[in-house]
Amino acid sequence: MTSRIGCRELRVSARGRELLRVPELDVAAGEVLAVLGPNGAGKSTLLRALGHLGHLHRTGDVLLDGRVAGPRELRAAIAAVLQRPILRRGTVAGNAAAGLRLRGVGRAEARRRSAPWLDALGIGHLAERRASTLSGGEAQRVAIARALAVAPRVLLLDEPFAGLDATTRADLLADLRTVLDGLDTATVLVTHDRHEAMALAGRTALLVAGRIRQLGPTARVLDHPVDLDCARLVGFTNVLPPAVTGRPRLAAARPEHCVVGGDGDGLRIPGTVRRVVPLGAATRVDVDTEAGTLACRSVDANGLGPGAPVTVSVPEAALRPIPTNGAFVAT
Amino acid sequence: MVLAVVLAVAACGGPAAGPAAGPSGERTLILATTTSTQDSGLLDELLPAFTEATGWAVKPVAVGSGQAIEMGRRGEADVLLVHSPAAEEEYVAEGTAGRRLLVMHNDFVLLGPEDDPAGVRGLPVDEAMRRIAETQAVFVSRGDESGTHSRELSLWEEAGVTPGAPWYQETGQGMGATLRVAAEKGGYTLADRGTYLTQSAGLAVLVEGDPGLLNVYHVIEVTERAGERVQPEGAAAFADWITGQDAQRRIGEFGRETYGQPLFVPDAGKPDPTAG
Amino acid sequence: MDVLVDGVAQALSLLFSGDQETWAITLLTLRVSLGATLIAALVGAPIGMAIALGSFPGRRLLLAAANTGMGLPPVVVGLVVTVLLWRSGPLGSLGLLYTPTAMVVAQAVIATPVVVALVAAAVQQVDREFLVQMQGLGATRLRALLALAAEARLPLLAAAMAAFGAVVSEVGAAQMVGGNIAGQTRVLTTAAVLATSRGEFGLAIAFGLVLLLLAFAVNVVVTLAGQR
Repeated sequence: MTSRIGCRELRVSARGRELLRVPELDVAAGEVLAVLGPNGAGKSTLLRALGHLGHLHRTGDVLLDGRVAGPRELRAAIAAVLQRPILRRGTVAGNAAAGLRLRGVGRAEARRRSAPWLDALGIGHLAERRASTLSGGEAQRVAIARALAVAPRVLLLDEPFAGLDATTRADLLADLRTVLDGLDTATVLVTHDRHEAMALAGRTALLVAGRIRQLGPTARVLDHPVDLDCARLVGFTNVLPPAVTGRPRLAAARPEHCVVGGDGDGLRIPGTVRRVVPLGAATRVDVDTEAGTLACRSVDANGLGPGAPVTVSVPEAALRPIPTNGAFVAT
Repeated sequence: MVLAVVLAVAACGGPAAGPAAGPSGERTLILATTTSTQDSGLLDELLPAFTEATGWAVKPVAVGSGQAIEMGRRGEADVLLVHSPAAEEEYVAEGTAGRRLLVMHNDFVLLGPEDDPAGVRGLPVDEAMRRIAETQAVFVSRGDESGTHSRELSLWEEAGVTPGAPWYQETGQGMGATLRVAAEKGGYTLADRGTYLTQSAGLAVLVEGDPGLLNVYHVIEVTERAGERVQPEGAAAFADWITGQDAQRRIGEFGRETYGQPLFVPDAGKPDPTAG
Repeated sequence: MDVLVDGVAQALSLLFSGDQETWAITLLTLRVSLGATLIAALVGAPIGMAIALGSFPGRRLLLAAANTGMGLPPVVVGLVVTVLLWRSGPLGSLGLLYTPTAMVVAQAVIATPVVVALVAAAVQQVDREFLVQMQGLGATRLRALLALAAEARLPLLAAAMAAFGAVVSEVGAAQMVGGNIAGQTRVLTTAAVLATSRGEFGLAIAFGLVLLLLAFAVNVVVTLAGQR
């Protein structure tokens, strides 16, 4: 692939501690790469290191179109959207043009070039509103429009949907997807939500404790974790050791596939109910087993109470074997 | 930081150089004098004439006689116009001063409330001060090492009294402020007649004309012995001019129109009443 | 009470009759205090910004010093500057004592801590990530800082006005380093004190009112310029 942005031996440390270490990473033009990880994993750090933003103690190289790039080139090529939309005083239209203005573009031309992006993100009708009166979702759209207006070769998005309600998030996701589809821009999306990764990214990297543990096509990464941390990250939170499963390797399954009182092939694990939590459409049942407490789904909660003996069944197809060595695997 | 600011401002010469910087080449001398010469307005009358006559511009710094003499000691002023004979003689005895010439005099007056609770009206001044101390009537002093304050202290000494709280109060301020405090508290105070004429504050003159109440002004030249930046030619020019005919005439006329009597009596060339 | 009324009447008559002396005093007041505020802004604003944005050792101590400096008695500053500038002092050769320049210096010293403390507060109000986001849009360090200043421009203007207010109304330093010399270093505050000591209360109040009008006029101009 032709790498639009990449890094080699990128390391970031602070106060003597190493926060991030990425030997190699590339994102192609037109591609969206999601960086998924738990809080504190270093996702924002990676983003900032790639964009040479903030005061980071950084070693290693960042590459643009295959060549090592200095801070000035990076600054010109990149546009970033941070977690909180930081807008300036003034109107929405003024803010959307701010990215271009900061790069020295004249006021009239900046307005002209940024206006279509407000429409693309569905907020063209808010152009003359004061930025301080916007809702969270609207403000974030302005921030994204502002970034896209500079026609960046690389777009860095740091958890852009954080703090938005479900409907707003869904709408923004859809609009963002539409906008990004036609662009030549390489996009790096940092998130802790795998559904966002599914919706937007062709490839996903799992970042845990400053290291990329797994990198590959999104569907594969999200469904075939290579180690325990990755498994938990992508939702395989029920860990089943060999002692319980009778299999040679550690296995994991999603809670929604562990059914109490179900039948069919696969594993059957005895246990006692710890608690029953009705959650609207389905009921969650926590079951104490030899493998620890498993979060399971119940089809029919009648007659289940704490202490009741039950059997958890996990279909074969839902089990994932986990190699335990935790080494980086590019799948 | 002050150094940096000073250099920056001095370097740009500056819009803040002041509206009356004067033609270049004009010489300026520093005159240290007392608040009574400034408050009476005499300086406003004399200084422009001096500048016109001699070409020396003057920066008059009006502080108390004590502070003025101290400035002379340190060479921070070029010439002094003060009225504190004891302190002046001490300063001259130190050896760094130039000529000391008599300029003018007026007198001090003992002021108090019209109803005179201590009953001092018309008495000789030392008797009056004793009476005030005995009755513990409120006496307001300037307490600021000025010429007036020094005279007041020597009068207490001659009366054989050591004044103290609670009836003796020191304001640490100029004559005008001290007069007002005395008036507010219905107390007594010592003032020079010049200031009294311009601001009586409602007080009455109760003792006057006593020889101990003579208020004599001298001009004293500062020499380079006090400091290397002193300008002795300026000092000489001022001392000569103020004891000269024109200045003495102006002094003699000053205040006659407004107050019906002159505020000062010109004395240049006469025998010094404070000598001996 | 009639003293106050008399003062108002005198103020109006002095101003509108174009009394030369009053206008000269007013102009000098403006030049000295504006000059001092400008210097304080040039020196203090970068320091205030550095305190707000930086992370160097002693940062908080510096801020505490600035906050304390806001309470510096002008008389004390005047005394220190006098000692430095008088003939026997280290800077005596400059011959600056009893000149408007010395007054500008002393007032600049008084105004600088005000500027530092208030600029630091103004900049700290802006989102911590502001500069990073500006960088993320391609701004150079300089452009990012200018954007930050534009963002905080209202509290920054307030800082300047507070500094101006502090120095235009002070009398201790102006009296000491200026000497209140007629036609040369007399400003509205020292003129008011002199008038008071001469018992001319109406005139003193008149000067006070002119000072208020001056400060108001400056504030109006600056506020209008800031709102554009």
